[in-house]
Amino acid sequence: MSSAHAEGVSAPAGRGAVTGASVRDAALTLFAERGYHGTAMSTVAAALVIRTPSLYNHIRGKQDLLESIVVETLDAVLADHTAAVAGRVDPVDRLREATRVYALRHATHRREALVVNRDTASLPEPALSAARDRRRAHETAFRSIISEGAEQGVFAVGDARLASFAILEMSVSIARWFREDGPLTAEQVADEHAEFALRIVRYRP
Amino acid sequence: MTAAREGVTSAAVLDAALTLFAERGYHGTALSQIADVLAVRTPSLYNHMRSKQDLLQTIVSGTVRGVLADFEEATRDRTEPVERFYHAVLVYARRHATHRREALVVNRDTSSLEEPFRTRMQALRREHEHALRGLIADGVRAGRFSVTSPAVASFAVREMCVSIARWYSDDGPLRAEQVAREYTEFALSIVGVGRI
Repeated sequence: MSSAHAEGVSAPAGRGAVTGASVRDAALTLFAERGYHGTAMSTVAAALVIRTPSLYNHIRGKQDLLESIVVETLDAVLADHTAAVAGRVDPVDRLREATRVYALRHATHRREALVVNRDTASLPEPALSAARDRRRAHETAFRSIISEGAEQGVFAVGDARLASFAILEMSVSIARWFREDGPLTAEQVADEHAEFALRIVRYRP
Repeated sequence: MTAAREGVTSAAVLDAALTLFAERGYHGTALSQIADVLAVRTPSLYNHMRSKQDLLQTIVSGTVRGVLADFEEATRDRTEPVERFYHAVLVYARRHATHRREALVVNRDTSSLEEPFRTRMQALRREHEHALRGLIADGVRAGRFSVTSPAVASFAVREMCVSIARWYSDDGPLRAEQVAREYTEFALSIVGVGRI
């Protein structure tokens, strides 16, 4: 997908090009398409035109691949959020930007989002708890923006938790339906969702 | 064992499969686990179903047809766009709180359906998506809604409702009906009711 290609991790030309990054990229594509449980390491190897044992020169195992995909994605979500709200004090700006970056990531990093949302539950402990803690940290930070806005009287929403779930989940779903060759760009879809978020919390300009 | 086996019905098999598919996923569930839950031996399940795939097909088909029937019922005798949209979203949101297992399975495991059944089910899901999008477009035409893209708004509304199945809990502080009504209010906000 574009994210990987933008980072220069495009599909390998052949045996010589295989790196840890290209193994991860191939696994990410396959996990997103077929699910973690539906992907065999031999399929990852076949996609890279190498033999299965050679994969282990680059990675420790399938579970390890899943763990690094999930952890890195969730860390990036938190980093996006922190950067988006940094220096902003107005809850309207904070909610708009926090939603925009979250929605945007789900259009530009669809594979990662699909895998995190479907396959996190397949992680063993303690990785599972670590992943859940990161998601909770993001949800809590996001929800606090809505609560602040409600306290300041700029948002008229009864239940900040419900509103926060609604906004986050509609953004997550972008990964399921967005198409790069569709009528709207990732940025347009992200802007739409930022507007929906402000509507959900009943911000009245 | 014998007594339990005699008590097992096709409905009980389907119900046990639904619980396990929802918890562990279709691929993560073995027929032997369904049999364990019912305290019968695995071969006995074949009196009630042909295969694990058969169970999944029954669950998905019943659910997507149920969603379409809900929609039809909610909009049939209504003509006003806000009313039609309100009731269509309300039944959809409510279903995701009251039929959580079905929603989780349909949303995660439809991709595990065998063809041609998979294509047929996806067409039925698309039918609901287009119907809801149509209601939004109707509202925009009638000057009651304000959205840039009825398609994006319809995805947002549907997916937000679907997500209820992922977090709603019967023993949580909110009742299914409250959650359904709150989410329907969110949906009205999304399409911009009252902003014109």
